[in-house]
Amino acid sequence: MKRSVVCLTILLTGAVLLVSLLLSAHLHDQRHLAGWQDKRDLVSVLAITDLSLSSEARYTRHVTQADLFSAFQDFPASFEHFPTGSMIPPRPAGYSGRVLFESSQQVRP
Amino acid sequence: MSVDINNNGPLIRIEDVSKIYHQDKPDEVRALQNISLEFFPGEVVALTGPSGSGKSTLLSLIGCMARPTRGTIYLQDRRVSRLPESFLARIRRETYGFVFQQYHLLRDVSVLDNLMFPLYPAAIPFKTMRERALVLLAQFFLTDKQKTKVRQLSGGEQQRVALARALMADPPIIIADEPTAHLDAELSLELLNILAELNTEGRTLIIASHDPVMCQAPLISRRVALRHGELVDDNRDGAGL
Amino acid sequence: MILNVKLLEYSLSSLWRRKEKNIALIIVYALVIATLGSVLLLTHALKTEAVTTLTAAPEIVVQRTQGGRHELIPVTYAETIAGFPGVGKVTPRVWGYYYDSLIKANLTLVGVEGYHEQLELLEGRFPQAADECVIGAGVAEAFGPQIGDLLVLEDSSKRRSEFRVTGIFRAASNLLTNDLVVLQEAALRDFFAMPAELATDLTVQVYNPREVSTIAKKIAYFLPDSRPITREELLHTYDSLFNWRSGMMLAVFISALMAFLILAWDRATGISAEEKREIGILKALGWETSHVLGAKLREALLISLTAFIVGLLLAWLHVFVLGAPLLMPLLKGWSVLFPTFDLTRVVDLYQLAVLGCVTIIPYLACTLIPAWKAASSDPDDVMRG
Repeated sequence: MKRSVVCLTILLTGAVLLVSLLLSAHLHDQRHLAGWQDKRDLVSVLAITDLSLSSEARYTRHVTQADLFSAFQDFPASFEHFPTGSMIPPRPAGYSGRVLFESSQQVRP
Repeated sequence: MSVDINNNGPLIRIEDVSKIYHQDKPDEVRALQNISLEFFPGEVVALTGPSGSGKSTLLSLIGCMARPTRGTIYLQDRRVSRLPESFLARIRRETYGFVFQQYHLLRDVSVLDNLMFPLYPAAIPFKTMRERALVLLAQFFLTDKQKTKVRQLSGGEQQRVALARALMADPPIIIADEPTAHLDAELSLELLNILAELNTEGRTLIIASHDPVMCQAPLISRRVALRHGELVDDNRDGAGL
Repeated sequence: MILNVKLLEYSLSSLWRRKEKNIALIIVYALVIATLGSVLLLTHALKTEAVTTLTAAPEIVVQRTQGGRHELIPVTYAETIAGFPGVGKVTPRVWGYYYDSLIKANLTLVGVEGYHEQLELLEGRFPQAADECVIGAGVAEAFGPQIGDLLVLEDSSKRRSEFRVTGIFRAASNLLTNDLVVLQEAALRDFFAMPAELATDLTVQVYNPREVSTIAKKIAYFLPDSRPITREELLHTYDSLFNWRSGMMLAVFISALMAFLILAWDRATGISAEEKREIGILKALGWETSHVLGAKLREALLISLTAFIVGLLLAWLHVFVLGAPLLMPLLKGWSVLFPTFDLTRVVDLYQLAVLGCVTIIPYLACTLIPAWKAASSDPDDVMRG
């Protein structure tokens, strides 16, 4: 008798834990409606159409904006080879564009 | 399903029973042929005969473990040979106590659990079952072994566990198949004493054996001899074969 | 009730007797559930993020194609579209990419026009002059600037342009703004050397959601070189994107599932001689086939439920607490400015139910079928030795 009580208790505890996690996710979602709204404000102000999940070629950065027939990519020398294109990096050569930040403390020339 | 002890009629009635294994196949075995027998309450019956004579088959038919190919078996007035499996299981559980030649204990299970597991399907509270098991273990001097795994017991101890298990449901009929096969002379005598005691409690014993110590024991009230699946002798006076 | 508890008790004893084997089985089983569960939780969370936030995206985006390629769109198209009934504001957008060869990242440069209300998710303020900019947290992290610092970009003619950082998007918006550099529209046009009569694309506001597809068709009809993309399509794209991402991950892990099923099959079909003997003895002593099956079913359920619960808890921990470190490489690919983001804790119960079905039911089946075979043996096999 003892064995089954112990076992059922453990199993039940696990189930309760899992259900409460799922429930907490639901409640969390309800509480953060405001958070969603903030994000929607941002989206509408910047007219954002895509997630910035993958910042590189247009077919990953702006999935919904990619034109239907293109073989070119916006990331230098990135030729699309679906579906591995998003896994294997291209090797661009001869591009010299640079992003540079200068600290505000520095004296401007 | 229990047995009415006050009924004076035959306890078990076997009518013209045959058992054929693998019927109509090349390896067909005619284990029993046209056997008719009656067993009465309180009898101690020895089934004798060389190995292969059909003793074990007869025991499993009596014990509701198998159904006869032909013929009918009655337990008191109830025709059990055509009952569905669930009823047979219940009869085996409540009416018969089995002691097998190989004991057939659960080797990796404790002695106590070995006594209780077979009765789990019965509607007996766990606590009652445990108390009953402890009483039986005390009776068979196994109290200190209750937590031991059967694997670690000696042959004699295993024999006693097997007997204790057979008595768990307090069955009116005990069926034993070659109970002395693995025992030395001393342990055999001890077993005979226990069996005698069970008989004085009013239980019917049906024992298959070709061990002379068992067959010639004063305890035996009747000898039934089988050969090649046929009944060759039914001696009810207790006289030797 | 008594019977149920007693059969459970027997099942536990039976499991405990083979504890090494069963614990190993539960671990493997739980890991399989955890892997598959992680994929489902992660992709569902991302999908929810996309689908929930992008409902605020423009109803229609109009691109222009020339020779089958994306081209800049004349601003005059906006007037044509604004003339359609049901259309609200039509806004030209200016945006593009800027590649940094040192860290090999592609930034997205976005132009905004006019004055904007302060946004909750922006630390600092929107650019109000031509030499001001706002950057995403990913950019700030990669290059290390703070508010007040200068962003220096070289345009296509190697001319240096300087922009003062007036704001950085908060990390909570990383999934939307990670690689953004927001400039005033005029400044961005100047930087890209884009003529004032052209724009990257147009966003179209539509008052009645039910008219969106009609208007999209109208746009394509009256402006044959344009390609309207409706919000519907946009959301659908994200839906299917994560479906194939998750599909690909699942394809990788399906081998794990197969391996597990083989293991389970092996374990189950190879019901040991000892177990068979035990079933035979219990049947001879008065168990029915249904009792044996009941006990075996309890064993299988105990194993699979334990593994399922443990597996899902592990998946939860992995995805929502640790941030899915084992799956991110697959999602990330070679992405340089990959956002660090807090996943929204959303769960699709339907998916979990499906996960439960595809893992638990096969296990139950391959445990019960051989047990049933063993249990339906004749009880007198025991008597015959």
